[in-house]
Amino acid sequence: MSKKIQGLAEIDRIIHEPARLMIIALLATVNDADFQYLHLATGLTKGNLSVHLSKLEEAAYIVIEKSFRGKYPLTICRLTGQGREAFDNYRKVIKAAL
Amino acid sequence: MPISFFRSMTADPSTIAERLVIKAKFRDGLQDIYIGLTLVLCAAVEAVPYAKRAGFPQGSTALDVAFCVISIVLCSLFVVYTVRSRGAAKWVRERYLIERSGYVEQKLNKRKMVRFLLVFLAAFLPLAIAALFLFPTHSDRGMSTVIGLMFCGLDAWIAWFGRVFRFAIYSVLSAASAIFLAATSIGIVATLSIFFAFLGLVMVFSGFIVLLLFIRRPAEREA
Repeated sequence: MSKKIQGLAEIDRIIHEPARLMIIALLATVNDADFQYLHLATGLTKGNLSVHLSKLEEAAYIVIEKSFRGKYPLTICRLTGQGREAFDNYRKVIKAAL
Repeated sequence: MPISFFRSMTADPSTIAERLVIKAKFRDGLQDIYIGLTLVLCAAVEAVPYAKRAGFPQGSTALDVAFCVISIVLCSLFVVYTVRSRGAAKWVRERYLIERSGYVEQKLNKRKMVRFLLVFLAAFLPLAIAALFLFPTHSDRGMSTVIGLMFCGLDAWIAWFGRVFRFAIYSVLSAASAIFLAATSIGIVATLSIFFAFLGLVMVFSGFIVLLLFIRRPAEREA
């Protein structure tokens, strides 16, 4: 089996989950986004989104900041440097294998 | 459902994410209104000298000065509008629509924008040059058709890449109106003015409909 395909065995499983991949890919495309934006763009339920964001935060791939804009509560999510690096590595592995 | 794209390992996740971001940008109709107003303003700037020639007595210095002032005001308005209106759309979203659309800080990828512009020009510049040289006696009509097809191409790309269906309709209308106007004997200035005004008004009207439908959706609060 070629080394490039063997690389798939060591793929980052935190990012590899489709919902988390979608969240990370979206956050890589923007500077930051709030929970509501991610909920509408991804189509995930709020509970599902919340669980995946927690997992990504535990892995230090994203940071979550809670604030207010007037009376509206904002939960801002932003990709960390580590998260960006992990996403770029993930893309390289997938591209190389396919 | 966007997640289905991310289940396929062959799709580039960055491209899909960009697609979702563009779809989100056009969700509330504000971009349509912004583009439509830009086109209407363009049409007004184009129409001033034509209106002066066609509708008013010639040789009057006062009238010449008045139309000069109107042109300068419209051009300045256009510049200020172009610079500030993107901020205005963002302000409207964050002030009035944040509960419905959420908050996002877009990333400006200048290199990608320049690359897109170069590809776009590379596609249409040869057509424009061909229109000038192949049809020297009808170069006006050729140029206006090419400009119409440029808008058609741009709208078609947004419709395809961002999956924003109404841009497919704008694309068809752009092509049809450009070809129809080129077939008439109207000069290029009037043709472009009518074309921009028509497309602009369609987009403003459509944008307002989309915005009204978007506002009527119940706002969801975070849990």
